[in-house]
Amino acid sequence: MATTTVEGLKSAASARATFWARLRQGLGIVFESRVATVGLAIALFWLLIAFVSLFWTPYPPNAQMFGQNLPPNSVNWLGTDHMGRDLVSRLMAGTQVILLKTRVPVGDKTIPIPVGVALWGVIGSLAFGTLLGVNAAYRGGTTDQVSMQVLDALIAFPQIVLYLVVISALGQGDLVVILAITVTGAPGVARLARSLTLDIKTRDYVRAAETRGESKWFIMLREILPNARGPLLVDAMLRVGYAIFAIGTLGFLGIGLPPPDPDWGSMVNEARRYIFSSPWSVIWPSLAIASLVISLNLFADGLREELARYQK
Amino acid sequence: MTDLQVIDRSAPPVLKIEDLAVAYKVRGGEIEAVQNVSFEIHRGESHGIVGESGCGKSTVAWAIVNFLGENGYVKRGSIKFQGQDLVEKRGEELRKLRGDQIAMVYQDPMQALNPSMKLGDQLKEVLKVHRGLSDEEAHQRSVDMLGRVYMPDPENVMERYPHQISGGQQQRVVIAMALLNNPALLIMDEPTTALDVTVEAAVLDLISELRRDFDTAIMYITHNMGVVARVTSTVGVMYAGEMVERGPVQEIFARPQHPYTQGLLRAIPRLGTEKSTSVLYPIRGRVPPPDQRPSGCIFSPRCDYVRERCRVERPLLRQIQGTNMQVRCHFSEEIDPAQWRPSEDIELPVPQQAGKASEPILELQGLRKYYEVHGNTLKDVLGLGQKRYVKAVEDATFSVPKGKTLGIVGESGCGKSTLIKTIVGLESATDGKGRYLGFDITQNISKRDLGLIKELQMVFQNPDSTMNPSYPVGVQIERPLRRFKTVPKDQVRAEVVRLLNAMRLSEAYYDRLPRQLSGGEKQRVGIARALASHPDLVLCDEPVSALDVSVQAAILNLLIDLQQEFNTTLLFIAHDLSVVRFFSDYVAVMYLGQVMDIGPAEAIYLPPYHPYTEALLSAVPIPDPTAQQKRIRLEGTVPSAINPPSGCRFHTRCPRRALLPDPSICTTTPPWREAGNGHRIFCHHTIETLRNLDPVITT
Repeated sequence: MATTTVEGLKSAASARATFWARLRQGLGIVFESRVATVGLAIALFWLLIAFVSLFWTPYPPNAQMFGQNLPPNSVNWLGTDHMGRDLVSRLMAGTQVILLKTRVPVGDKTIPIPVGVALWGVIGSLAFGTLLGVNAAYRGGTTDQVSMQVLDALIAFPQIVLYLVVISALGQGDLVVILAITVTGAPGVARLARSLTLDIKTRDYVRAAETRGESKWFIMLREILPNARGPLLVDAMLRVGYAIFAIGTLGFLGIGLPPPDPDWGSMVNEARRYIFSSPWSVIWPSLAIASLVISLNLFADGLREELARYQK
Repeated sequence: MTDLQVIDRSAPPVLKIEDLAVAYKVRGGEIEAVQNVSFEIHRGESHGIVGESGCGKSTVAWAIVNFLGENGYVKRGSIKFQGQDLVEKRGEELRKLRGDQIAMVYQDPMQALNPSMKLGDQLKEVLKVHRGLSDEEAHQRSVDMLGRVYMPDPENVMERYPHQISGGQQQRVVIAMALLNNPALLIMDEPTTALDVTVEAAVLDLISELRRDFDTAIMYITHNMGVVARVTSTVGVMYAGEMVERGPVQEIFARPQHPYTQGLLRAIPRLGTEKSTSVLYPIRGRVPPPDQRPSGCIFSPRCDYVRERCRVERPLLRQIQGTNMQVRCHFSEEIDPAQWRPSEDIELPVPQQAGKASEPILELQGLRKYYEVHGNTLKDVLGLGQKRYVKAVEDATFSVPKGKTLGIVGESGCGKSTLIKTIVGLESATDGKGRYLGFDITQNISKRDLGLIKELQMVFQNPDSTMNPSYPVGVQIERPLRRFKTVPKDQVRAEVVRLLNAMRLSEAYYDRLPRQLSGGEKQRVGIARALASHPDLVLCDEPVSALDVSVQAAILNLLIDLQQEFNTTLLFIAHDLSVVRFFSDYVAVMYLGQVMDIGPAEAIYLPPYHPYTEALLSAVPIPDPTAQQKRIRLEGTVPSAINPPSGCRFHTRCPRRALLPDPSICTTTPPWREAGNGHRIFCHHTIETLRNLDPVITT
């Protein structure tokens, strides 16, 4: 919470000084909690792997240059898959689409843009859900009723069904997966944002803004939202985990991120036919998904606990 | 305490605390919240602990019952309860002792009662667990005890849930529960702070009476000097974790020995003083946080009599020769409060005679504010049911001259806040006329002109929520300057600094975040923000209620200064009648949405007054143990504003109803009676009848 700033509202020099002070304080909170520290370490490990894989992997991730379904050995540290591709290289490259790049089709080419599918999905649901939730709670009355009923209806569908609907309507692709994550994540964020706003809007500083005759959007975005960001960011951290999980699920169903770039979900899917003869190519990507999701959960939990204690 | 009661001091005390120090373990070390506290309480004695917030009053109470939490512990000293040391006790032994012999009453009764259990079951549980009584016996004892605390219809109350009775009644149930085991020691931690004055008065009466009847030792914690004067026999004054003075209540008020106690008493307005003739003196500086306490006398940085010895040597609590007073000061014999002069570094307003009343700036005529109530029946949902309204403000008619202050008093829920919210435009009026300098103000803000909006600004009650925690002070004061374009863009920062200086805050506060500020400082910034647009009418919703008395004095002085400088008109809500009397030129008394009594401040506090005003004045705790107050207690609770009594809204509780030749007249609307000098009373009684009533307070 303390790491976000209100830069641009103050003169640049003092802003910079307080920015670093707050960053240090923010990180201090993380290291107070052992759980959060462990979570952060694992997540940073995967982030590092993703960056490294942009420039270097042991072998090209899509090259079929080894024997099929090899167990871990001195050449292929984690073994190979059913097409003779190196698992270490594929696992490393698999982090990219989740964390670092999104492939956007332009004409008949695809251009990678920065930030991975999981993160875009969460950013999307955060933006969409927060706006809906804050708006519903601050305006109240009919606006609140209608928007919350629509979101409740959305929650009532099983997520898998929603994914299938979105993807069968729009076809496969990174952007479609982002959209699917946004649509399924937004109702949860909206509920959280709404409950936070219902509390914050009773505070006197909101009254003060109203007696100045400020517009509703100014009050929502400048007075209320900054004070709701702590819990929302913690929630977003958890949601990155869910999104990675969702991408894995979609990949496993064969409707996830399109080939040929490897992603962990489709690696599990492709390898599951050989699970009895060579379990390794299922185990590694599953472990990777699990460790990243757990690390983000740990980080978010630890952060939430420390924030709660800090605020007391 | 007016009744002198003999307390047997030769018998061993019920509670004896010696040299107590309580520490909390925190991130990176520990903090001694309480140090060197020693006192004793005898049977039948009511020992008050007073002090400002954060000085360790509650920590002492928690140490006695060992509720210090995971990170707190008694570091030094002993707590002897009936000769047994409580510090050593653990587990079951302590639990039994606490339940059988020590009882505690907290500030918020709603948190002390279990909302999902019937009151009767909660009361009976005490007796069944600790006394092993059967259900019938426990029931009978509980009903008796509820009757003892003047609970109407005890049998019925036993079957109710906490939310079904009023706040004052809840506190009675908590007190009844505390007394069921006939405890030797009763600890009360601000038991009336959350209650209205009229309810508070009844609870305080009850506490005094129970002390006499049950011969219990009471430890009474409060920050309110008026309450101390009313219910305690001995007082200990705490400051920054230490007890700085202790003695009989009359002596503490008549001859305070410690400079801090003297300062506290100078900071509170006595009922009847006003700003044109007297001045409140705040104590300079602020309470040091526990980890930055000075090494010498703990009060030395704020003391006007400080000498070299005070800075190096911590004084001990010592007996003053020839008195019952104990004081922690090296030089108290040499200090003469009568010779005291405020130190140079405190800026005080100069008392000014009120000028002539000028043009009215705000005029209300029959202003009404109703809220529609949404029912839950099918009829209501379909919109077929009869519409019902909360009549929050009914027929408000008055005008305020420019540059004057109108104080508004009344119990909670009487419509004070709704009235000023309607004036400022947070709500639109349902009916009636409202004019500010001729502009219509019955619409809400979205329909008002920006030029009108900037003329009406508001100061809020709660210092912790008056500022947005996300932005530094400077940004928050800048916002109205930019929005209303009060000054050119390149002068905004200079103007903010000027406003900060006007609030006695330095430029260094510009970049601070609200959480780095104390309550008083936050309130100053809140006032600066309200004044940034140079409004002519400022509405203050209990601006000092949440502040400590010394800070309260400083804020009131600040407001007086600003008003003299800018000729600002103020509407000032407060529930403390002495503050309102001190601060206001005119006072309006509200009951259940209706203005009952309005006029010049000095006229409201003397007969003739409305019977409701009379009851309020009789309930207000006066910080003077020798003052005599007429005892008028209102019966029942404030009726619902959805269905207020017809005619005079006060008639269901009016203690003066019997004086009317024909009481049935009360159900008709009373006339406004002129008592001269602009004083108007909304009552069936004639002015002569009301004038012949005795004054409530005689000193």
